[in-house]
Amino acid sequence: MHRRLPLSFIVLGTIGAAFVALPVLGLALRAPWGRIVEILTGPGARTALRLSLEVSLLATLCSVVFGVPLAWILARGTFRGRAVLRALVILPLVLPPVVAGVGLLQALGRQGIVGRWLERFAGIQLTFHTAGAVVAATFVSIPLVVLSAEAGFRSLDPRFERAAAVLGAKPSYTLRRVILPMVAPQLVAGAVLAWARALGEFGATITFAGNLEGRTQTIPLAVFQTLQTDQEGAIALSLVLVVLSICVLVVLRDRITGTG
Amino acid sequence: MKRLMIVPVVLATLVLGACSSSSTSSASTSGSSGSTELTVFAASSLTAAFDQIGSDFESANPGTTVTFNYGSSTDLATQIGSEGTADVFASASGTAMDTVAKDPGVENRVDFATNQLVIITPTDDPAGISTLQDLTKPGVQLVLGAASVPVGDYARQMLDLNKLTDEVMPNVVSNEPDDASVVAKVSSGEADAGIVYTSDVASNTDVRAVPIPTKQNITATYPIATVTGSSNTDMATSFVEYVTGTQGQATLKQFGFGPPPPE
Amino acid sequence: MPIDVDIEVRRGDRTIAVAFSVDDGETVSLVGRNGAGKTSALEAIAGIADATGHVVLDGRSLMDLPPERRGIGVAFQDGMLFPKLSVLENIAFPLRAAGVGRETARTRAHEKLAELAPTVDPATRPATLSGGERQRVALARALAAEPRVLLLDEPFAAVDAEAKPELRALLRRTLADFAGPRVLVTHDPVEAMTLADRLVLLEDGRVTQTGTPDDVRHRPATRYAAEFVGTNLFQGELVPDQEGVGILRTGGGELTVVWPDGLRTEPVTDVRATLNPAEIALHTEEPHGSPRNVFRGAVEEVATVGGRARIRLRTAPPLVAELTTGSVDRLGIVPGREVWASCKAVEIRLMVPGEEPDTL
Repeated sequence: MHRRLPLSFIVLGTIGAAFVALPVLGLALRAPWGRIVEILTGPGARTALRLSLEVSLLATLCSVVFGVPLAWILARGTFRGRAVLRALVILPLVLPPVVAGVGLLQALGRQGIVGRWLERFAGIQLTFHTAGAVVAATFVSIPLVVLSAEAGFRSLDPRFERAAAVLGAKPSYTLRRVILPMVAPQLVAGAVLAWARALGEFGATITFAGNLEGRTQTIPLAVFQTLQTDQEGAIALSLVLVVLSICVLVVLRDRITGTG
Repeated sequence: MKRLMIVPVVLATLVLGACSSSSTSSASTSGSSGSTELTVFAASSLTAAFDQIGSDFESANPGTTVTFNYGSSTDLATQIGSEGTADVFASASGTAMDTVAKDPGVENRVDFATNQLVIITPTDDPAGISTLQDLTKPGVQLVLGAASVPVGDYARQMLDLNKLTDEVMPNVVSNEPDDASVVAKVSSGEADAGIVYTSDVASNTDVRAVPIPTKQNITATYPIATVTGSSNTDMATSFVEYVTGTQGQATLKQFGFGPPPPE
Repeated sequence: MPIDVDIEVRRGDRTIAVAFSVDDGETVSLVGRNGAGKTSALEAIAGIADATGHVVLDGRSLMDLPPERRGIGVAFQDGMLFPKLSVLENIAFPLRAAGVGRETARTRAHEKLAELAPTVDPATRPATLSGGERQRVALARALAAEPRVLLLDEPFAAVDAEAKPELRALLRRTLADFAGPRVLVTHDPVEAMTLADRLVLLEDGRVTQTGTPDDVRHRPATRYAAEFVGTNLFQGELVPDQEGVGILRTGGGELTVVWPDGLRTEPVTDVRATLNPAEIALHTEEPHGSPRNVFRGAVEEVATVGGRARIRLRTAPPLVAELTTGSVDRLGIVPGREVWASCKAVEIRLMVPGEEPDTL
């Protein structure tokens, strides 16, 4: 089969592979392997790791809780403006994260359209708090859940829902016992992607939630700050994210190539 | 399966989205391509002043284009060390200049301006800040530059000087990458107060400035130098001389900087 | 009658209008070609397709009720078993959906499974079942919650030919045990004729005939009805010929018939006639002897079911003959072969409008 591949393709493909592999390789080679355990178990790193896990898992939960019903509405709804709604939901995927952060400030910041009422009547402030980091991470990762779940719902034969109804099931029972189990693989894939995205979120977080150790400084923010003073430390932290990302890709490998 | 082909697209976007270029560096180009191109790395607090100086310098030296790369001095120092495209470096801290002096090296180093710190609050002053002491009030949401950037470092030095560190630091809600971000957080009303350079508020009407008495304040000294290995040493030296000369100094004063310390 | 149906369903740009009633203990079969609208009608009754008109069950209108509250059990084409539930969970589904406790539901489900599909493993997923097994489980699931009415949509559609007889027997028993009204949708004549008490024939969205299987067999109202029950149907003008003999002039050819006793000897229009395919004899050479009707034509199709063969002939008029497969082999009847078909005039049964239906 190799003989069938034109040489130019092989060359270009190899360059492409190298392009992607080199940064990862660079990180691995330049990492302070001798000190890495010390760095990663140091208080700063531990705090960032803990916070990152906390924020990303909460963001994933929120994305699933709000994204799956939204995906259902998009998949089965028949109202006008569905296309607009879908475009809106996908927007955070293509919006530059800093822009997303600015938008979040206008909406949910202390002076924001909704934010000001949150503060005045409920005493809730999102900026400068961990909740703000969760909000920023959720904003950028919810589209991943919606896309995956909607694809899953659309692939379902609607006759199953009708059959369930005839057999006496209320819509909520049908959803729980028939539909969700059938789209479970797509939901999981969406959630894992959302988690990976939430973990890596930087621009919206630093713009909206701020940057404070233990409260809003997730790993990407910590890497950014550490880079200015301790490059090796930054590399070590970066490796953590790389390893986590690789794990995600391994878990999802079948889905990526469409053989899932 | 068609439905899963979105995954690679999504993943690609995920990777793109998770990256972010440094929010602090920006570059501005003035004029069209000429016979000499000068690249100046300058602290972000110098943005407004140097933009003006840049266009003045270009008018005075036709055929020259000055390109600025603004950012936090510590960031820039790292970049100069690894990239080596800078002809001139104007830093907000001596430490950052020292870093560059070590690698790749500097010439014609001279202090060209000073800056002091000032407290800023939103125009409606929600937390009632009128003195340094007021920053210790519980519940004040204070924003500083990160400790690793000059403006953050200076702010912490200043607090230390006034023995307020232990009482003020708990009020810090965010460590911003540079002074511009601190100003942004305060002017938008997100933070109750911030500490930045006086030059940052000189022409800024979006924030309220609370001056810090000189006794309690610290002075930041800004050095400028040509970078060893530059391909435009003559023009670079010219630029440094312009900045330290009458024109440059007048512009700096106009933008709120203080004069350099006497030799 | 316990259930009265009179509905109109819109499918695309077509309308399907169906009206019939079913009594307790009665099986009505809704028959028609694929696309005639039978499944749409069934879905409308079950509440999963929009329809206008009324469906009344025990005096209550079902039209405004959502499907889950209509008390109708449905066994779907292909079973429609939920793929992520085990066989037992599938059967227990209607019970659990109605709020029945887990243990009770499981017990009842086991009972139904033992009754209808004893060889199926309750813990297995539906994907591993054969077509026949799926249908049995679907039936068990439809009956599990003891519905008031039972609807069956093409139960044999996805079943192998070998499994059909057994399934048919099972269905017969199950239907007999079900006390309420039952509606069976099918396009298969054998299913309908053997399981139904009454037939409702649907053609292009309209009901063209209702009656018992015998009614339809003896007096098919349309070509499709005749094809369905497996008889030959002719239509045309009846003119007198010789003494006691008439000619039925149809669009496809002429038949010699016995002039009905007591009928005035003058041409009659719009006369229909049936001829049992088994009464047609096939010959490989021109026959001699008494048959008045001899037709020559090519064999168009030979369809075998069990030991019998139905042969379609491109004669004038077109005929369907029925022979044993042995005879077919012996005579060498294959598509394309020229044959002679003959039948006695007396075997053609006439239906003269306004006269007694059975004139022979």
